[in-house]
Amino acid sequence: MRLEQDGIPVAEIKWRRVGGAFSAYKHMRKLDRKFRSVDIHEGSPSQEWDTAADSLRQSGFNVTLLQWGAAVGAMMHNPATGLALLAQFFEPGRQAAAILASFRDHWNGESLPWRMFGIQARLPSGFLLDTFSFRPGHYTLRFRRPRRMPAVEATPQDFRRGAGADLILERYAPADAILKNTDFHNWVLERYRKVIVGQVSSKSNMIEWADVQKRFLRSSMRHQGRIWLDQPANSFFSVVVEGEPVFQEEDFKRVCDEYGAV
Amino acid sequence: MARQEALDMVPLRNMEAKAEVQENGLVLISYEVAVKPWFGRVASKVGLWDGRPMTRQLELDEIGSYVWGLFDGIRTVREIVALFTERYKVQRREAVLSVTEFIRMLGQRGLLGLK
Repeated sequence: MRLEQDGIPVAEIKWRRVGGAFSAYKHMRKLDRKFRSVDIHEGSPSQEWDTAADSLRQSGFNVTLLQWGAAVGAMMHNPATGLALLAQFFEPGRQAAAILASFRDHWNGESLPWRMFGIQARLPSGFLLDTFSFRPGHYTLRFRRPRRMPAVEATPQDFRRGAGADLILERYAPADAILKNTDFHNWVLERYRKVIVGQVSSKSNMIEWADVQKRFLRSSMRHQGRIWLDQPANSFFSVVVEGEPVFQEEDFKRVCDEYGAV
Repeated sequence: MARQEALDMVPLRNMEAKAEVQENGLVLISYEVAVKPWFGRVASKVGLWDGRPMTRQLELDEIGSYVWGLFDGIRTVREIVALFTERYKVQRREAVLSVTEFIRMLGQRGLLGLK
């Protein structure tokens, strides 16, 4: 995730859960080899950064502060959850150190809160963010829970390969403009015709479906979804789950209840 | 040009373009397009073009029609974004992207300028 201010990158954050041991030194050497023109070394530019690192250590992270040129970074790893995180601040200042100190690992809990661009959700903690898109009028967040946690060096293709479950959150807006020449029911059936599987039940501002497909010599596939109209937010929200039937009915309901406009 | 400066500019409609509000509330814009000389010569020879200016039509959707109505030569892009945000209850950033992309699209067609 890259953050910009006035079109100029100010920070970049990369994260992933890793299994087993994590060596910050090994990854620092890897960065050093990748960016040969800059001297990446361990160090802290000021007391504020040390204080931020101490705050992170108290929350359970192992922290290594990095410096290269004017930029400052931090490599963090939480052995309890396997979360590894690289934060880079290209124009570090007092604000950047405070932002670093605010990092927390929510993987310890049963669920993981998300909040961005006016939407919020709380998902079961096994789901990792796969792809996302924030286009005007249409937001998509695709999460995946692979059966086996991918290795550190795994490519996105490796991450998507194999058994697992996908969770897709979408938001369409503005709803009143979308429904100008159609009604909610028709719009949903047209937009989600390739996604809807099984029995569909509809209420005035909500459509749901659920089905489990048996597959020969393979685990069965669960398809479940819910789309609803949130009139105060003038938006449609949808939650779709596909894949291994590891996602229980109550989990699905909880995700739907927690997902919506901020 | 910085983003902040661009947001303070005022969109101006092309006076040559004819916009009419249809019965369904959507705006239909008719505008003339310049014909490339080589295409004009070929089209004339095969009888596809009689030399008169070619006209194109662009029908705006619900949101586009609303924004087009806000181009009064006085409001800045920033003010239009604020009205758009209030009308459609979207995030400000989303409104900025929608409105600026729409202005860019109209600008490419020569239907809108910025002062």
